[in-house]
Amino acid sequence: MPDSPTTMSQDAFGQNAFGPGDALADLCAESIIVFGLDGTIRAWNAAATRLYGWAVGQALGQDVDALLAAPAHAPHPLAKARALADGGWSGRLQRRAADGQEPVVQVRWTPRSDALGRSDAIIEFSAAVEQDEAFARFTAGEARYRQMFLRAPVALMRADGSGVSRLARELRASGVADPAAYVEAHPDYLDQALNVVAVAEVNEQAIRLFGAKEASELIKPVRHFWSDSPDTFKRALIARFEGRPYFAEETRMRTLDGRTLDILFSLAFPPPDVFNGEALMGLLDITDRRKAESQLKALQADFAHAARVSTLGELTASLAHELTQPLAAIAANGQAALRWLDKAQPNIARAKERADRIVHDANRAAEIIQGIRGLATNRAPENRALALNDLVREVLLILKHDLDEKGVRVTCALAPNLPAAIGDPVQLQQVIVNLIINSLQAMVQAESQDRAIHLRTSIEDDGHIGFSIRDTGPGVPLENLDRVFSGFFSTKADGMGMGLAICQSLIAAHGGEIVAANAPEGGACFRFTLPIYGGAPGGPDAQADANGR
Amino acid sequence: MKDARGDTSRARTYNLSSVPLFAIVDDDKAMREALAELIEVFDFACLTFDGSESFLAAHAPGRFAGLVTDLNLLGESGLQLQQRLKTLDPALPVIIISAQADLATRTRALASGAMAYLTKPINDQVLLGRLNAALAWGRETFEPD
Repeated sequence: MPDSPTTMSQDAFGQNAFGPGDALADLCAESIIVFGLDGTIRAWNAAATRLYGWAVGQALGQDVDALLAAPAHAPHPLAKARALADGGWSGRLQRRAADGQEPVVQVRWTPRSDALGRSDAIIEFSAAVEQDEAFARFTAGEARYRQMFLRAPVALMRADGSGVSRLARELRASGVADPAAYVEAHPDYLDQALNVVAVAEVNEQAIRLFGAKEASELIKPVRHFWSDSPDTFKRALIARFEGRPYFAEETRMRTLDGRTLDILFSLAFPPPDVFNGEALMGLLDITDRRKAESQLKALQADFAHAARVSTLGELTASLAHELTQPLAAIAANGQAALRWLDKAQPNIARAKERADRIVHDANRAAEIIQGIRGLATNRAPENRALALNDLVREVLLILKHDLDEKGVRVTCALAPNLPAAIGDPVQLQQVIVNLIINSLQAMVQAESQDRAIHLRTSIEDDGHIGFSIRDTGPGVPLENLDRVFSGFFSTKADGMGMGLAICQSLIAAHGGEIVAANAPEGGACFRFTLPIYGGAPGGPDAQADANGR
Repeated sequence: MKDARGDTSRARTYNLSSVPLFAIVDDDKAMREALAELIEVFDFACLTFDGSESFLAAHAPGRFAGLVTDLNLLGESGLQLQQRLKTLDPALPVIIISAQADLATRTRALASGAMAYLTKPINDQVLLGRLNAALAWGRETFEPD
């Protein structure tokens, strides 16, 4: 604010530059100001005094912008140049009056020519755009933003972290170069921070979210909210110290009435050089979403179970045969043993041999049941490191009869030293079984003369292992190739079509991908990939393959 | 004496050629062995084979007193083998064993000329009866003049 002059200053003409016309000028309702090209006010009418509050003596001789322009609202320098060049300029300016009010004024500038026709000053006519309107708009603007904050559909809270900002500065000043590492290493600092960072302002959704009745209940240190997940707070703090503009995490927060909610927590920081400690938190309650996700997972498991059972239906003949063999052998061996013992000269040795065989065959039957049972159980996925080659070999054992019966030749190229993947072995075996059965059925349905499937495992370049199955069937019709994994698509007369959709869903859940293609030499080729567990090659398969299995 | 698969343990034939020799064809090893054991406890001799190919390689008319074969075999089925033997060696009695107990399959097997159709698990008494019947049939039909 410029100092008011103690003496009335006068222009080169020795008086208010309106000259003889100043009485007229004072009658004009509009504010009239004349200022030189250097900005010095040379003339000032009564209306200008009413508008801006400065008396004529205070205004004359002052720089027009210094006196009148609202801070950060100086008129663009080009405006004046344009006035001179175009013969005039008009526009709105935000001005500041003597009493601090900031009216918006509509101004009209006209260059004044001297006797020689050169511009030597600018005449300004200005009037306040309805003062109430400007103020109302300003306060309305503020009110609108305030309402936006209060009524936003997502919970918002303003945090006051000035305490930690100060702490961070102190740390830096005391030579700690990496506050983030400091935080990790000093849990007591974190503990202190939980008390020092506080909620400063909350909106309606936040009040509702945390089970409060009014805002004041939430204005407190953030410690309470992070009771269940102090690590999220730690990571947020580290993000701040690392100068990141945002931080977001799915976490759990404690309400005022003691409940724990699943929250998508996001935080926006001021620029790192601004240490006002303010941050805006956005909170989204994802408890319902989490619940829906776990319900969906359960439903998927149910579908997977249904698919397994229908695949199992297709395996029933295999199971029946697989069990019939050991049982029939047990019966025959038992009968033989009894007869050896019943002879006039009982042959104990041979009877014993038979008893041994019975035990052996009973164990074989039990193993077969275990294998099939694994497929039939509806259980939650159990993730662990798995050896894909072993899974493939087990599936081939289970399906041996089916494949033999239909005259299918099986060849394998299982990569030695195949790294382990992580996942649920039963689910992956289900995928492999499904793919093999599909190939089998395709070849049977097409009455292929030469029936063969080739299984291959491999290490892919991108940190994945791969499995592929190629058959000598008719292949996948081109028009179906892109639909083959969608649910309810089946080329089988009684097919429900869920098998490949389930396979895709299971592989995706393992972080892999499954694709279908037709092999160049004919037949269909299905491939899936799985991420390598831990990244290191030479996993469990390495030992087995080294042993020559 | 070794059986067709080189397995020395089970096939102990006696030097007296009057001991009837039966052939067992089954692709399941445990089943083959158990059947062989039963036949031996009946005091017969037997040779076991894992499929029709290995059996036919060892077959000569009159060598075997009877054939016990599983219906489902790798490659040529038991029924197909029996069909072949109708022309190859009509005097050879064929006993078919199977897990399939349905009437249609049984009828087909018997209509095709099999001497007996037994379902698993085999009843040893029934098997003994059929083996003796096979021997009797052989003696009746092909009594040397």
